[in-house]
Amino acid sequence: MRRPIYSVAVLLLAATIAHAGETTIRIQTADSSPADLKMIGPTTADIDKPVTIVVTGLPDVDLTKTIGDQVKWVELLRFDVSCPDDAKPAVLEKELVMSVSPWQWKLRLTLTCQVAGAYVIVCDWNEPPFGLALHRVTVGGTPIPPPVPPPVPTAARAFILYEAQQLTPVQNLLLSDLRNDQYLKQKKLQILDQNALGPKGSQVPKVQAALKASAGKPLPLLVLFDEAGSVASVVDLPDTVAAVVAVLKEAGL
Amino acid sequence: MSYTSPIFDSWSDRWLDVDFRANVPEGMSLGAVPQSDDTFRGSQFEESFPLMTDAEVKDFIEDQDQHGGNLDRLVTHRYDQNGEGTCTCNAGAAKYNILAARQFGRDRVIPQSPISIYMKIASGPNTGSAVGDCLDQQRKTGSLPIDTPEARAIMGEYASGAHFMRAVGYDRRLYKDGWETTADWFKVHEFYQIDSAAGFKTALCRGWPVHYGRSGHSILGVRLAIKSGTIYVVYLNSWGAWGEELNGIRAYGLDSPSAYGTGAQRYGAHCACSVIVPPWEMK
Repeated sequence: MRRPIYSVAVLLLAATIAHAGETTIRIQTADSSPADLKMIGPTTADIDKPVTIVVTGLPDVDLTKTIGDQVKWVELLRFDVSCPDDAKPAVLEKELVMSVSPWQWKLRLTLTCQVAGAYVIVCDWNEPPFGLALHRVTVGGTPIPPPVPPPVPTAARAFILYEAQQLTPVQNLLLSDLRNDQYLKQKKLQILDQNALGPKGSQVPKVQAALKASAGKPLPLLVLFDEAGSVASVVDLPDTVAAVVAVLKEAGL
Repeated sequence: MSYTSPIFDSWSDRWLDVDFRANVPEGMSLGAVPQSDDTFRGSQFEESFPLMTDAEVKDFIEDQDQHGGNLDRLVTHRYDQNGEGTCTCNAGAAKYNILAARQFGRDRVIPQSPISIYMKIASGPNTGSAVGDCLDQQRKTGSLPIDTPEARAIMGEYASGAHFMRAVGYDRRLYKDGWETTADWFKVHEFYQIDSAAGFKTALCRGWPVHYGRSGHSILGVRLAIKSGTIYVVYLNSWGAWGEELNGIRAYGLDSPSAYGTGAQRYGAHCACSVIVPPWEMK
Protein backbone atom coordinates (compact mmCIF):
# COMPACT_ATOMS: atom_id res chain seq x y z
CA MET A 1 0.00 0.00 0.00
CA ARG A 2 1.50 3.26 -1.08
CA ARG A 3 0.47 6.71 -0.25
CA PRO A 4 -1.94 8.13 -2.82
CA ILE A 5 -0.51 10.18 -5.59
CA TYR A 6 -2.36 12.55 -7.86
CA SER A 7 -5.10 10.98 -9.89
CA VAL A 8 -3.81 12.81 -12.93
CA ALA A 9 -0.54 11.05 -12.49
CA VAL A 10 -2.23 7.66 -12.45
CA LEU A 11 -4.14 8.40 -15.64
CA LEU A 12 -1.06 9.48 -17.51
CA LEU A 13 1.12 6.68 -16.22
CA ALA A 14 0.07 4.42 -19.08
CA ALA A 15 1.84 6.71 -21.48
CA THR A 16 5.09 6.48 -19.62
CA ILE A 17 8.23 5.67 -21.56
CA ALA A 18 10.83 4.26 -19.24
CA HIS A 19 14.58 4.56 -19.58
CA ALA A 20 17.25 3.60 -17.16
CA GLY A 21 17.35 6.27 -14.54
CA GLU A 22 14.49 8.37 -15.86
CA THR A 23 10.83 8.26 -16.58
CA THR A 24 9.22 10.82 -18.84
CA ILE A 25 5.95 11.76 -20.33
CA ARG A 26 5.95 13.70 -23.53
CA ILE A 27 3.45 16.45 -23.46
CA GLN A 28 2.31 19.24 -25.64
CA THR A 29 4.76 22.07 -26.08
CA ALA A 30 3.55 25.45 -24.96
CA ASP A 31 5.23 28.78 -24.40
CA SER A 32 4.42 28.87 -20.73
CA SER A 33 4.48 25.23 -19.75
CA PRO A 34 6.96 22.35 -19.70
CA ALA A 35 7.94 21.01 -23.08
CA ASP A 36 9.45 17.74 -21.92
CA LEU A 37 9.30 17.31 -18.15
CA LYS A 38 11.97 14.89 -16.95
CA MET A 39 13.58 13.78 -13.72
CA ILE A 40 17.12 12.55 -14.05
CA GLY A 41 19.14 11.04 -11.25
CA PRO A 42 20.18 7.88 -9.45
CA THR A 43 17.67 5.12 -8.97
CA THR A 44 19.28 3.71 -5.85
CA ALA A 45 20.31 5.35 -2.61
CA ASP A 46 21.49 4.56 0.88
CA ILE A 47 19.49 5.24 4.00
CA ASP A 48 19.97 8.75 5.32
CA LYS A 49 22.19 9.61 2.33
CA PRO A 50 20.74 12.40 0.19
CA VAL A 51 20.44 11.83 -3.56
CA THR A 52 20.04 14.60 -6.11
CA ILE A 53 17.51 14.41 -8.94
CA VAL A 54 17.31 17.14 -11.57
CA VAL A 55 14.01 18.17 -13.15
CA THR A 56 14.47 19.35 -16.73
CA GLY A 57 12.14 20.24 -19.54
CA LEU A 58 11.02 23.36 -17.78
CA PRO A 59 10.29 26.61 -19.63
CA ASP A 60 13.27 28.33 -21.22
CA VAL A 61 14.94 31.28 -19.57
CA ASP A 62 13.58 34.50 -21.00
CA LEU A 63 16.22 37.18 -20.66
CA THR A 64 13.75 39.90 -21.61
CA LYS A 65 11.66 39.39 -18.44
CA THR A 66 12.38 39.80 -14.81
CA ILE A 67 13.03 36.64 -12.89
CA GLY A 68 9.87 37.15 -10.88
CA ASP A 69 7.75 37.35 -14.01
CA GLN A 70 9.20 34.32 -15.71
CA VAL A 71 9.14 31.83 -12.83
CA LYS A 72 5.48 32.20 -11.97
CA TRP A 73 5.07 28.74 -13.44
CA VAL A 74 6.80 27.36 -10.37
CA GLU A 75 3.47 27.79 -8.58
CA LEU A 76 1.95 25.28 -11.01
CA LEU A 77 4.32 22.49 -10.07
CA ARG A 78 3.30 19.97 -7.43
CA PHE A 79 5.50 17.31 -5.87
CA ASP A 80 4.76 14.20 -3.93
CA VAL A 81 6.80 11.24 -2.76
CA SER A 82 5.25 7.85 -2.18
CA CYS A 83 6.90 5.96 0.64
CA PRO A 84 6.91 2.41 2.02
CA ASP A 85 4.17 1.77 4.57
CA ASP A 86 6.31 2.03 7.68
CA ALA A 87 8.49 4.85 6.53
CA LYS A 88 8.62 8.30 7.95
CA PRO A 89 7.90 10.84 5.20
CA ALA A 90 10.92 11.26 3.02
CA VAL A 91 12.57 14.65 2.96
CA LEU A 92 12.41 16.31 -0.47
CA GLU A 93 14.22 19.60 -0.77
CA LYS A 94 13.75 21.71 -3.91
CA GLU A 95 16.13 24.21 -5.40
CA LEU A 96 15.48 26.22 -8.60
CA VAL A 97 18.61 26.93 -10.62
CA MET A 98 19.21 28.82 -13.84
CA SER A 99 21.76 27.25 -16.16
CA VAL A 100 23.49 29.10 -18.96
CA SER A 101 24.56 27.89 -22.40
CA PRO A 102 21.89 26.86 -23.02
CA TRP A 103 19.73 29.16 -20.95
CA GLN A 104 17.45 26.81 -19.02
CA TRP A 105 15.60 26.53 -15.77
CA LYS A 106 16.28 23.38 -13.79
CA LEU A 107 14.87 22.14 -10.55
CA ARG A 108 17.26 20.26 -8.32
CA LEU A 109 15.56 17.86 -5.91
CA THR A 110 17.33 16.32 -2.94
CA LEU A 111 15.71 13.20 -1.54
CA THR A 112 16.66 11.77 1.87
CA CYS A 113 14.99 8.62 3.19
CA GLN A 114 15.30 7.00 6.61
CA VAL A 115 13.79 3.60 5.81
CA ALA A 116 14.67 1.08 3.12
CA GLY A 117 12.18 0.56 0.31
CA ALA A 118 10.94 1.94 -2.99
CA TYR A 119 10.15 5.63 -3.23
CA VAL A 120 8.49 7.33 -6.19
CA ILE A 121 8.82 11.06 -6.72
CA VAL A 122 6.03 12.66 -8.69
CA CYS A 123 6.46 16.04 -10.35
CA ASP A 124 3.14 17.26 -11.63
CA TRP A 125 2.37 20.32 -13.75
CA ASN A 126 -1.26 20.29 -12.83
CA GLU A 127 -2.56 22.86 -15.29
CA PRO A 128 -3.25 22.61 -19.01
CA PRO A 129 -1.47 21.40 -21.04
CA PHE A 130 -0.45 19.16 -18.10
CA GLY A 131 2.90 17.56 -17.53
CA LEU A 132 4.02 14.77 -15.31
CA ALA A 133 7.27 13.00 -14.49
CA LEU A 134 7.96 10.19 -12.08
CA HIS A 135 11.22 8.93 -10.71
CA ARG A 136 11.70 5.77 -8.69
CA VAL A 137 14.47 5.44 -6.12
CA THR A 138 15.15 2.19 -4.29
CA VAL A 139 16.67 2.94 -0.92
CA GLY A 140 19.03 0.62 0.96
CA GLY A 141 18.84 -3.13 0.58
CA THR A 142 19.34 -3.58 4.29
CA PRO A 143 18.50 -0.73 6.63
CA ILE A 144 21.55 0.62 8.43
CA PRO A 145 20.93 0.38 12.16
CA PRO A 146 21.42 3.54 14.20
CA PRO A 147 24.85 3.83 15.78
CA VAL A 148 25.03 1.95 19.04
CA PRO A 149 26.58 3.99 21.86
CA PRO A 150 29.67 2.38 23.29
CA PRO A 151 28.78 0.25 26.28
CA VAL A 152 29.56 1.74 29.67
CA PRO A 153 32.19 -0.53 31.17
CA THR A 154 31.69 -2.17 34.51
CA ALA A 155 32.98 0.06 37.27
CA ALA A 156 34.03 -0.51 40.85
CA ARG A 157 33.80 3.09 42.02
CA ALA A 158 33.05 6.54 40.73
CA PHE A 159 33.68 10.15 41.55
CA ILE A 160 32.72 13.56 40.28
CA LEU A 161 35.51 15.85 39.21
CA TYR A 162 34.83 19.58 39.27
CA GLU A 163 36.56 22.94 39.38
CA ALA A 164 35.41 25.26 42.16
CA GLN A 165 35.67 28.38 40.04
CA GLN A 166 33.56 26.83 37.28
CA LEU A 167 30.87 25.20 39.40
CA THR A 168 27.55 26.90 38.66
CA PRO A 169 24.77 27.49 41.19
CA VAL A 170 22.65 24.89 39.39
CA GLN A 171 25.45 22.34 39.65
CA ASN A 172 25.88 23.21 43.33
CA LEU A 173 22.27 22.27 43.96
CA LEU A 174 22.70 19.06 41.98
CA LEU A 175 25.66 18.06 44.15
CA SER A 176 23.60 18.61 47.31
CA ASP A 177 20.77 16.61 45.72
CA LEU A 178 23.22 13.78 45.04
CA ARG A 179 24.37 13.82 48.66
CA ASN A 180 20.80 13.44 49.86
CA ASP A 181 19.73 10.72 47.43
CA GLN A 182 18.87 7.48 49.22
CA TYR A 183 20.36 5.22 46.55
CA LEU A 184 23.60 7.15 46.30
CA LYS A 185 23.99 7.23 50.09
CA GLN A 186 24.88 3.55 49.88
CA LYS A 187 27.57 4.21 47.25
CA LYS A 188 31.03 5.60 47.66
CA LEU A 189 30.72 8.55 45.32
CA GLN A 190 33.27 11.24 46.01
CA ILE A 191 33.06 14.79 44.68
CA LEU A 192 36.53 16.25 44.26
CA ASP A 193 38.02 19.45 42.92
CA GLN A 194 40.56 19.04 40.13
CA ASN A 195 43.10 20.72 42.43
CA ALA A 196 42.39 18.39 45.34
CA LEU A 197 45.36 17.54 47.52
CA GLY A 198 46.10 14.89 50.09
CA PRO A 199 48.05 15.18 53.36
CA LYS A 200 51.33 17.07 53.21
CA GLY A 201 50.39 18.50 49.85
CA SER A 202 50.46 15.13 48.10
CA GLN A 203 48.57 14.65 44.87
CA VAL A 204 45.42 12.53 44.75
CA PRO A 205 46.21 9.73 42.24
CA LYS A 206 42.63 9.20 41.11
CA VAL A 207 42.21 12.91 40.39
CA GLN A 208 45.42 12.92 38.35
CA ALA A 209 44.30 9.78 36.48
CA ALA A 210 40.90 11.30 35.78
CA LEU A 211 42.42 14.53 34.52
CA LYS A 212 44.66 12.60 32.17
CA ALA A 213 41.79 10.45 30.90
CA SER A 214 39.44 13.39 30.48
CA ALA A 215 41.77 14.95 27.91
CA GLY A 216 40.65 18.48 28.55
CA LYS A 217 36.90 17.83 28.62
CA PRO A 218 35.00 20.61 30.37
CA LEU A 219 34.23 19.96 34.04
CA PRO A 220 32.31 18.68 35.92
CA LEU A 221 32.75 15.07 34.85
CA LEU A 222 31.58 11.72 36.15
CA VAL A 223 34.58 9.40 36.27
CA LEU A 224 34.26 5.61 36.60
CA PHE A 225 37.09 3.40 37.85
CA ASP A 226 37.47 -0.35 37.40
CA GLU A 227 38.54 -2.85 40.05
CA ALA A 228 42.20 -2.29 39.22
CA GLY A 229 41.84 1.43 39.91
CA SER A 230 42.16 2.46 36.28
CA VAL A 231 39.82 4.96 34.67
CA ALA A 232 37.11 2.97 32.92
CA SER A 233 35.02 5.82 31.61
CA VAL A 234 34.72 9.60 31.71
CA VAL A 235 31.37 11.20 30.90
CA ASP A 236 29.89 14.67 31.30
CA LEU A 237 28.14 14.98 34.65
CA PRO A 238 24.44 14.41 33.89
CA ASP A 239 22.01 17.19 34.78
CA THR A 240 19.81 15.25 37.18
CA VAL A 241 20.17 12.82 40.05
CA ALA A 242 18.15 10.23 38.13
CA ALA A 243 20.52 10.45 35.18
CA VAL A 244 23.58 10.10 37.43
CA VAL A 245 22.03 7.07 39.11
CA ALA A 246 21.25 5.58 35.69
CA VAL A 247 24.87 5.88 34.57
CA LEU A 248 26.13 4.30 37.78
CA LYS A 249 23.61 1.46 37.61
CA GLU A 250 24.51 0.80 34.00
CA ALA A 251 28.12 0.53 35.08
CA GLY A 252 27.18 -1.98 37.74
CA LEU A 253 27.49 0.33 40.72
CA MET B 1 3.74 39.66 43.74
CA SER B 2 7.37 38.95 44.55
CA TYR B 3 8.55 35.53 45.61
CA THR B 4 8.87 34.72 49.33
CA SER B 5 10.92 31.81 50.65
CA PRO B 6 8.78 29.22 52.45
CA ILE B 7 10.80 29.47 55.68
CA PHE B 8 9.04 32.79 56.32
CA ASP B 9 5.75 30.90 56.62
CA SER B 10 6.83 29.32 59.89
CA TRP B 11 9.97 31.01 61.20
CA SER B 12 9.63 33.45 64.04
CA ASP B 13 10.89 37.02 63.71
CA ARG B 14 12.64 36.36 67.00
CA TRP B 15 15.53 34.79 65.05
CA LEU B 16 15.97 37.67 62.64
CA ASP B 17 19.03 39.89 63.14
CA VAL B 18 19.52 38.59 66.67
CA ASP B 19 21.54 40.97 68.79
CA PHE B 20 23.92 38.34 70.05
CA ARG B 21 25.49 40.53 72.72
CA ALA B 22 22.10 41.25 74.27
CA ASN B 23 20.72 37.75 73.87
CA VAL B 24 23.41 35.31 74.89
CA PRO B 25 21.56 32.36 76.38
CA GLU B 26 22.47 31.39 79.91
CA GLY B 27 25.58 29.25 79.89
CA MET B 28 26.61 30.38 76.39
CA SER B 29 29.32 32.71 75.18
CA LEU B 30 30.26 34.79 72.20
CA GLY B 31 33.94 34.86 71.30
CA ALA B 32 34.54 36.67 68.01
CA VAL B 33 36.95 39.57 67.96
CA PRO B 34 37.06 42.06 65.08
CA GLN B 35 39.69 41.52 62.45
CA SER B 36 42.89 43.54 62.66
CA ASP B 37 45.82 44.18 60.39
CA ASP B 38 47.36 40.96 61.69
CA THR B 39 44.35 38.80 60.98
CA PHE B 40 44.90 36.26 58.22
CA ARG B 41 43.20 37.02 54.92
CA GLY B 42 42.96 34.70 51.94
CA SER B 43 42.82 35.49 48.24
CA GLN B 44 39.94 37.75 47.35
CA PHE B 45 36.80 35.92 46.24
CA GLU B 46 35.65 38.83 44.12
CA GLU B 47 38.76 38.54 41.94
CA SER B 48 38.38 34.81 41.39
CA PHE B 49 34.65 34.36 40.76
CA PRO B 50 32.20 36.27 38.56
CA LEU B 51 29.77 38.00 40.90
CA MET B 52 26.06 37.39 40.52
CA THR B 53 23.52 40.17 40.30
CA ASP B 54 20.71 40.34 42.85
CA ALA B 55 18.30 39.26 40.09
CA GLU B 56 20.40 36.14 39.51
CA VAL B 57 20.61 35.49 43.24
CA LYS B 58 16.83 35.78 43.54
CA ASP B 59 16.35 33.25 40.75
CA PHE B 60 18.77 30.96 42.52
CA ILE B 61 16.87 31.25 45.81
CA GLU B 62 13.66 30.10 44.14
CA ASP B 63 15.55 27.17 42.65
CA GLN B 64 17.23 26.43 45.98
CA ASP B 65 13.88 26.44 47.81
CA GLN B 66 12.43 24.03 45.26
CA HIS B 67 15.37 21.69 45.91
CA GLY B 68 14.70 21.82 49.65
CA GLY B 69 17.71 23.89 50.61
CA ASN B 70 21.34 24.59 49.93
CA LEU B 71 24.27 23.80 52.24
CA ASP B 72 21.90 23.22 55.15
CA ARG B 73 21.29 19.85 53.49
CA LEU B 74 24.93 18.97 54.14
CA VAL B 75 24.88 19.81 57.85
CA THR B 76 25.34 16.61 59.84
CA HIS B 77 26.50 17.87 63.22
CA ARG B 78 25.33 20.61 65.61
CA TYR B 79 27.81 22.24 67.94
CA ASP B 80 27.35 23.63 71.44
CA GLN B 81 30.24 25.80 72.58
CA ASN B 82 28.95 25.42 76.11
CA GLY B 83 30.03 28.64 77.75
CA GLU B 84 33.40 29.00 76.09
CA GLY B 85 34.31 31.79 73.70
CA THR B 86 35.02 29.40 70.86
CA CYS B 87 32.33 30.48 68.39
CA THR B 88 34.76 31.16 65.54
CA CYS B 89 36.15 27.64 65.78
CA ASN B 90 32.72 26.06 66.15
CA ALA B 91 31.70 27.79 62.93
CA GLY B 92 35.05 26.75 61.42
CA ALA B 93 34.55 23.11 62.39
CA ALA B 94 31.01 23.21 60.97
CA LYS B 95 32.47 24.64 57.76
CA TYR B 96 34.90 21.72 57.52
CA ASN B 97 32.11 19.21 58.16
CA ILE B 98 29.93 20.62 55.37
CA LEU B 99 32.77 20.46 52.86
CA ALA B 100 33.60 16.90 53.94
CA ALA B 101 29.93 15.95 53.55
CA ARG B 102 30.00 17.20 49.97
CA GLN B 103 33.33 15.62 49.09
CA PHE B 104 32.98 12.25 50.78
CA GLY B 105 29.28 11.88 51.66
CA ARG B 106 27.11 12.76 54.61
CA ASP B 107 27.78 9.37 56.18
CA ARG B 108 31.54 9.83 55.95
CA VAL B 109 31.84 13.08 57.88
CA ILE B 110 34.23 12.95 60.84
CA PRO B 111 33.13 15.89 63.02
CA GLN B 112 35.97 18.17 64.01
CA SER B 113 36.83 19.39 67.48
CA PRO B 114 36.45 23.19 67.70
CA ILE B 115 38.57 23.38 70.82
CA SER B 116 41.47 21.71 68.94
CA ILE B 117 41.53 24.77 66.67
CA TYR B 118 40.72 27.37 69.30
CA MET B 119 43.45 26.53 71.82
CA LYS B 120 46.09 27.32 69.18
CA ILE B 121 44.76 30.78 68.39
CA ALA B 122 43.40 32.02 71.75
CA SER B 123 45.17 32.48 75.05
CA GLY B 124 42.22 31.54 77.25
CA PRO B 125 38.80 29.86 77.16
CA ASN B 126 36.95 33.17 76.85
CA THR B 127 39.43 35.52 75.22
CA GLY B 128 37.86 34.84 71.84
CA SER B 129 39.49 34.76 68.42
CA ALA B 130 39.23 36.27 64.96
CA VAL B 131 37.39 34.54 62.12
CA GLY B 132 40.45 34.85 59.87
CA ASP B 133 42.76 33.34 62.47
CA CYS B 134 40.52 30.30 62.71
CA LEU B 135 40.83 29.85 58.94
CA ASP B 136 44.58 30.29 59.16
CA GLN B 137 44.81 27.49 61.72
CA GLN B 138 42.53 25.25 59.67
CA ARG B 139 44.55 25.71 56.49
CA LYS B 140 48.06 25.59 57.99
CA THR B 141 47.74 22.98 60.73
CA GLY B 142 44.27 21.49 60.57
CA SER B 143 42.11 20.25 63.44
CA LEU B 144 41.58 17.05 65.38
CA PRO B 145 38.50 14.86 65.09
CA ILE B 146 36.07 14.14 67.91
CA ASP B 147 36.48 10.55 69.07
CA THR B 148 33.38 8.55 68.12
CA PRO B 149 32.89 4.94 67.03
CA GLU B 150 31.63 6.23 63.68
CA ALA B 151 34.76 8.33 63.16
CA ARG B 152 37.01 5.38 63.95
CA ALA B 153 35.04 3.15 61.58
CA ILE B 154 35.50 5.63 58.74
CA MET B 155 39.20 6.08 59.42
CA GLY B 156 39.81 2.35 59.56
CA GLU B 157 43.43 1.42 60.12
CA TYR B 158 44.37 5.09 60.47
CA ALA B 159 42.30 5.44 63.65
CA SER B 160 44.62 3.32 65.77
CA GLY B 161 47.49 5.82 65.76
CA ALA B 162 45.40 8.94 65.40
CA HIS B 163 44.86 11.76 67.90
CA PHE B 164 41.36 12.82 68.88
CA MET B 165 40.03 15.68 70.98
CA ARG B 166 36.78 16.54 72.71
CA ALA B 167 34.61 19.33 71.31
CA VAL B 168 34.77 21.70 74.29
CA GLY B 169 36.87 22.17 77.43
CA TYR B 170 39.93 24.41 77.20
CA ASP B 171 43.03 22.50 78.36
CA ARG B 172 46.22 22.77 76.38
CA ARG B 173 47.47 19.54 77.86
CA LEU B 174 45.08 17.79 75.52
CA TYR B 175 47.59 18.10 72.69
CA LYS B 176 49.84 15.04 72.75
CA ASP B 177 53.05 14.52 70.86
CA GLY B 178 52.44 13.92 67.19
CA TRP B 179 48.95 15.44 67.15
CA GLU B 180 49.89 17.55 64.13
CA THR B 181 50.16 14.43 61.98
CA THR B 182 46.51 13.70 62.57
CA ALA B 183 45.53 17.36 62.18
CA ASP B 184 47.25 17.34 58.78
CA TRP B 185 44.49 15.02 57.55
CA PHE B 186 41.82 17.60 58.45
CA LYS B 187 42.89 20.81 56.78
CA VAL B 188 40.84 23.29 54.81
CA HIS B 189 42.32 23.46 51.32
CA GLU B 190 40.75 26.05 49.00
CA PHE B 191 39.30 29.25 50.51
CA TYR B 192 38.71 32.93 49.69
CA GLN B 193 38.34 36.18 51.59
CA ILE B 194 34.97 37.86 50.95
CA ASP B 195 34.89 41.64 50.89
CA SER B 196 31.45 42.50 49.50
CA ALA B 197 27.79 41.66 49.90
CA ALA B 198 27.72 40.48 46.29
CA GLY B 199 30.63 38.16 47.02
CA PHE B 200 28.88 36.89 50.15
CA LYS B 201 25.74 35.96 48.23
CA THR B 202 27.57 34.59 45.19
CA ALA B 203 29.66 32.27 47.37
CA LEU B 204 26.53 30.77 48.91
CA CYS B 205 24.88 30.38 45.52
CA ARG B 206 27.92 28.51 44.25
CA GLY B 207 27.90 26.21 47.25
CA TRP B 208 30.64 27.55 49.50
CA PRO B 209 29.80 28.02 53.20
CA VAL B 210 30.54 31.55 54.40
CA HIS B 211 32.20 31.91 57.80
CA TYR B 212 31.65 35.38 59.25
CA GLY B 213 31.17 37.32 62.43
CA ARG B 214 29.00 40.08 63.83
CA SER B 215 27.88 41.45 67.17
CA GLY B 216 30.76 39.71 68.96
CA HIS B 217 29.78 36.30 67.62
CA SER B 218 30.77 34.04 64.73
CA ILE B 219 28.39 31.96 62.65
CA LEU B 220 28.29 30.08 59.35
CA GLY B 221 26.13 31.17 56.38
CA VAL B 222 24.63 28.13 54.66
CA ARG B 223 21.57 29.26 52.73
CA LEU B 224 19.80 32.29 51.28
CA ALA B 225 16.19 33.35 51.65
CA ILE B 226 14.07 36.14 50.22
CA LYS B 227 11.10 38.16 51.38
CA SER B 228 9.71 41.38 49.90
CA GLY B 229 12.70 41.53 47.57
CA THR B 230 15.24 41.49 50.43
CA ILE B 231 17.87 38.75 50.41
CA TYR B 232 18.59 37.17 53.80
CA VAL B 233 21.31 34.79 54.96
CA VAL B 234 20.39 31.67 56.91
CA TYR B 235 23.21 30.83 59.31
CA LEU B 236 24.16 27.87 61.46
CA ASN B 237 24.79 28.76 65.11
CA SER B 238 26.77 26.87 67.78
CA TRP B 239 24.56 27.32 70.81
CA GLY B 240 23.12 23.82 70.79
CA ALA B 241 19.34 23.64 70.35
CA TRP B 242 18.73 27.27 69.47
CA GLY B 243 16.79 29.09 66.78
CA GLU B 244 14.83 27.51 63.98
CA GLU B 245 14.99 24.02 62.53
CA LEU B 246 16.04 22.82 59.09
CA ASN B 247 16.32 19.18 58.05
CA GLY B 248 15.86 17.98 61.59
CA ILE B 249 18.54 20.21 63.15
CA ARG B 250 17.55 23.17 65.34
CA ALA B 251 20.40 25.68 65.16
CA TYR B 252 19.51 28.29 62.54
CA GLY B 253 19.01 32.03 62.54
CA LEU B 254 18.44 34.66 59.91
CA ASP B 255 20.43 37.78 59.02
CA SER B 256 19.27 40.71 56.90
CA PRO B 257 21.72 42.54 54.60
CA SER B 258 22.48 45.17 57.24
CA ALA B 259 23.46 42.47 59.72
CA TYR B 260 25.61 40.24 57.51
CA GLY B 261 27.03 43.17 55.56
CA THR B 262 28.26 45.33 58.40
CA GLY B 263 29.25 42.32 60.50
CA ALA B 264 31.32 40.77 57.78
CA GLN B 265 33.05 44.08 57.18
CA ARG B 266 34.13 44.39 60.80
CA TYR B 267 34.84 40.79 61.70
CA GLY B 268 35.80 39.48 58.29
CA ALA B 269 34.21 36.81 56.15
CA HIS B 270 35.55 33.99 54.03
CA CYS B 271 34.27 30.99 52.19
CA ALA B 272 35.91 27.60 51.83
CA CYS B 273 35.55 25.30 48.85
CA SER B 274 37.38 22.09 49.73
CA VAL B 275 39.26 20.15 52.38
CA ILE B 276 42.31 17.92 52.15
CA VAL B 277 41.60 14.35 51.04
CA PRO B 278 42.59 12.19 54.04
CA PRO B 279 44.44 8.91 53.43
CA TRP B 280 41.41 6.66 53.99
CA GLU B 281 39.57 8.55 51.23
CA MET B 282 42.43 8.23 48.74
CA LYS B 283 41.35 4.80 47.46
